Amino acid sequence: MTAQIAERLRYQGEDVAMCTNPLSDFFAMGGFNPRFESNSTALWRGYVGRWEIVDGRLYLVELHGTLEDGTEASVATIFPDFPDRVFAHWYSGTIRIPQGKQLEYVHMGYGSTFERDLFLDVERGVVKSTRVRHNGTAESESAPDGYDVGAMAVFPRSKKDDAEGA
Amino acid sequence: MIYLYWYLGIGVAVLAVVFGAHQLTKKDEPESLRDLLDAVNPDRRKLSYRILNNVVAPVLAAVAVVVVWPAALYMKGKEIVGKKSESALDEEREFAVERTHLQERLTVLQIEAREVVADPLGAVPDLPFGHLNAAWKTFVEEVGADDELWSLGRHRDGKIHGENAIRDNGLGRSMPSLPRCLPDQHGPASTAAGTVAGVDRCR
Repeated sequence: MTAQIAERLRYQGEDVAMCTNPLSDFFAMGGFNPRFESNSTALWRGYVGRWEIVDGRLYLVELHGTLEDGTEASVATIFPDFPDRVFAHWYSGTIRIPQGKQLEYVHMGYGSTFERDLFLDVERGVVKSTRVRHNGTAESESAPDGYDVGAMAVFPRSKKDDAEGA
Repeated sequence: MIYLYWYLGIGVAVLAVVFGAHQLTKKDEPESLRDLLDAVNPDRRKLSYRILNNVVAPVLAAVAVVVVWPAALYMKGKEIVGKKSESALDEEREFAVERTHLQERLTVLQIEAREVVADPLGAVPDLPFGHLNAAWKTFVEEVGADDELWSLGRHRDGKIHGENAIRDNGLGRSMPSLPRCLPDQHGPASTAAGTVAGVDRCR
């Protein structure tokens, strides 16, 4: 499994990578799942969401992805009555925000480690507490700063369409 | 000197094989993925990024393969072994509901009254279970007259939550776990009725 492209989170005025997928919980709980197409090994879930924390509450504000029928997906695809902002009340768990330089690149999921992890403990969409875990200091000054995906393979949609049309 | 030529010659051969394999298996980046990646990382559109990504990085990689080809072979071998071990990873464990997870017997109205979600920015429907109202409705439609509704405990970071149904001697009907947080305790879980119906994930 390839390292996965992270979700994006607007937190305290900064855009950061969020190594947690709150929408997965929504789908698992029976929420409408429009069936995203996975066209890259770095994005098995098939979408990238942009989230915000406003007054301690977690919101989904943007979504990019492609559905299996080829149409572009947005927040309105899943939440038609709330195309601009969705309160993630279904989510209870811990959001992980990696910070600092990369200590080890792991070519799987969100497995790469960084100098620090900022954890946001969320209960029913509301941030209850935050904590920072220090994982060490990068030995090299040139170590990558921030979350990124090292490599991926992509699957061409045209080839899939051809196969289906045949 | 002749050994150096042999070493570099093997490196060039390895590079040729790697390059050939890459050409055979590479896929063009679909437009939809390109848009998505551009949205995530706007720097991808910059000329400097494209030069680094499409010219500098491949040239450096090619030089590295020729010079330190044993390392390239080692990494490829490690990748192949890694793929085999990945396939052996455990599937996410399913959570089978047990009687000890039952918390409190409730009616549909009682549950709906306490599951209305509010949001100061109005980003949630004013309905029981908010954005999961449709899932809740589907569940309620499947609840029979003789079924019992119980709040359900689910272990997760020390918390337990959910609602579930009990049906006489029936097991296997599933429902989503809905995000009802309850105190971290195991309440009385005895019932004269049959078995807990439903499954959920345990994390």
